[in-house]
Amino acid sequence: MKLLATKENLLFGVSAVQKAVSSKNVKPILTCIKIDAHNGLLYFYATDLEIGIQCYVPVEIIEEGSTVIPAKYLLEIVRKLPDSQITLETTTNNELEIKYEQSQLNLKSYYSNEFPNFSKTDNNYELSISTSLFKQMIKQVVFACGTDDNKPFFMGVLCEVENNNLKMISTDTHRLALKQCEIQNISEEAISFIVPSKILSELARLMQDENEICNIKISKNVATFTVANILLVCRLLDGQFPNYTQVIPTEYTLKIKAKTKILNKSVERISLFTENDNSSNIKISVQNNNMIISSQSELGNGYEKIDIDVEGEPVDIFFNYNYLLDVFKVIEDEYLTIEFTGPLSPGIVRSYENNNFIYLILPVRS
Amino acid sequence: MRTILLADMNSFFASVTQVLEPKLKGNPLLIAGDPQKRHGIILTASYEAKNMGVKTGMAIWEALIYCPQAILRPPDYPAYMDFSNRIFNILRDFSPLIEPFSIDEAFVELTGTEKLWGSPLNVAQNIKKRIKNEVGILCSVGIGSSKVVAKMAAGLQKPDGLVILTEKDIPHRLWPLPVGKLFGVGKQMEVHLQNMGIRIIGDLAQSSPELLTKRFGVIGTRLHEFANGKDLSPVDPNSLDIVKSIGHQITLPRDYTKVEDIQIVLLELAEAICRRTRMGNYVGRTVSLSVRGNDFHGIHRSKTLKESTAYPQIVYNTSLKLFNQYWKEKEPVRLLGLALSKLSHLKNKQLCFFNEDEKLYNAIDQIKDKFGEKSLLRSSFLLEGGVFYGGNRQQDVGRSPNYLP
Repeated sequence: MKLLATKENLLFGVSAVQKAVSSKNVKPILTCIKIDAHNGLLYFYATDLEIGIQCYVPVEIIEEGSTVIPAKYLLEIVRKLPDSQITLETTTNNELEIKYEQSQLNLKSYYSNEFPNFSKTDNNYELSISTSLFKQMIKQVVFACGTDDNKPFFMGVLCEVENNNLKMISTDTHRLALKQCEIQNISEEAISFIVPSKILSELARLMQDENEICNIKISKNVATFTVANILLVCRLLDGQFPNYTQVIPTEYTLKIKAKTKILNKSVERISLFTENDNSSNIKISVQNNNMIISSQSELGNGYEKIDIDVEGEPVDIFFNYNYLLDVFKVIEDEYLTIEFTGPLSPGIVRSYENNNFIYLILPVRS
Repeated sequence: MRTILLADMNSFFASVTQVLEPKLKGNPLLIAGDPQKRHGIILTASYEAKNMGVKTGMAIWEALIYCPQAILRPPDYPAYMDFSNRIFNILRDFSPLIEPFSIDEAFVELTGTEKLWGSPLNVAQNIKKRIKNEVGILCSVGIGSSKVVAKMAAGLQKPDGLVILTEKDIPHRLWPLPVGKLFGVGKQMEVHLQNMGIRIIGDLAQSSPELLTKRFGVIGTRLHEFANGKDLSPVDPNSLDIVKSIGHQITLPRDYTKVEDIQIVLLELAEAICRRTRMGNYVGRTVSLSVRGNDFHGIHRSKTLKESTAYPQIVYNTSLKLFNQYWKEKEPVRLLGLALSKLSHLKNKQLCFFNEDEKLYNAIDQIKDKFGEKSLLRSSFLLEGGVFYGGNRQQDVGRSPNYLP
């Protein structure tokens, strides 16, 4: 293999795939990146067998071929290279020669035929979605996923596709986020699958350009996401996601409308009083046309009163403030609404202008 | 200057049995678990048996070598609870501040009671007399200016003792004792101290507190104070009310090596401790596993969960992970223990979606409350490996941590 490339392109490729490099040392070859030059493109591959990322950049190929390099050193070296033309060449004694300006580095390499192949799967389901929309959807649901590996399927996002509608649902059993959008769907039947939340976060990071299309292919237990020159393969999570529709209330006893930013700041300030205490509870009381957010602990106590629009019966309810702050961060509209269904049943947070997103938050019994 | 009394019942379990079965009086008596199983460890020996060399914690067969004519009886916990309460009620007649320290010993704060009851010596004699006459049991009483001194004093004369230690007495009565006899010094600590050249309590009292603190942290400071008879902790009537952990351990009927058998016992333990946790309206966050092999070496490992729980599945999964991670494969297991700690009360409970466990265990608890602990079991508990519920005798899963007779 011999080729000419720019630092910028090399860095793009190496950083795109590095999240798939295995952090465990069980199989040394999985801590490497495979590079493969053919048809005028340099392909980068990395996988830890759970997730695989492939990416390509244009280069000037003198001789086609491939090699496998420890990811850690490759990334460090590429980052520090000068902004000039770089020559990569494999040598007969199994090294990668990196030449730039008047200098040369030689890195030991692995045999590229030992690197695992990205399994080709029968992709029997296909859909596509614009990256700007997909990024927003991911942002609005991924934070509500669970982190407890005793309940693995809560560590993923349930995706349901029916006709041209994509629903993404996540829950850690204390709160639940649901976002739905119109998409282009090539297949006609309905499908649902669970994607690990960390895969979606990584995907959102990789979708840099807002005006691309993300193509998604689903087979029995593998999902493939393609965005421009990047391809990500991952295993889907097993398990039966519980029936979430039955926990979404259809009626409410109280509905309030408030300014997102003002509510966010108030909760942030009042939550200070819960520090040092084991609980993260704040109290919300709604009456007449105002809302009182209060908290007390050994540190002291405080309350904030804000004016809001109220419709329905007064309520006193306790929430874990983290679950409120999390959702305030992902609501982009100026106003939000919260529907209450009683002091021991879920509050339903929605963005005022946009009814494609709902967030259920369960209270604390106090 | 405070005056604190500690009353410690002599061979409590054996004494209670002798009261209930008067013909056993004056005979060597051993209270031990099921003689058929390995549960057969001596829990208490009467003084007649102790004089022949039997010690608490021996295996039955071993005790019978020292004392072949001994009479064996199984423990009767409800009776012990009953006797214990009667004794504590007598103590309450002498002071409003009594702190039960275990089932058979309690601290009594006598500071300020002199005008009512006379000198501490008087009170101690009265207490001993009343417990002997009204309950039928002998006790050793210690009196000192702090809890630790009272406790040490009671240990100096057994059975039927009465020792008063003043501050002047500490150097010649307590300091010559081996350091392992000091309250708060366990086997491990004794070894550490001996390695530092500290052999008797006096050595500890006279070593530099800075050095001890540097070596052992807060415990070092405390032990130095203890050795000097200093202990500012109050007599706290509610000290036992705070439940810190809920656990259970079980000695296996034979050495287990098969993972499938160990899994069953861990599941049984998880079910039992979670049931007790729920009975007390608690949830716990830290799962601790104890394992001991046939040579009595053992491990104790804990893991803190992301969220508190009172349901067995997660507790079981966590304990099994700890077991697989820290116990050498195929190595024989003789004892398994499981505990749930970092408890919090259910009053501040984050509600949960999809909590099938809650519904399921509510129903299970109702059935067990009504029909007994054995009324509903996992079928795997009836397999050969099961130790808790199998067999004819119902293993006591214990009571709610808040249980008051």
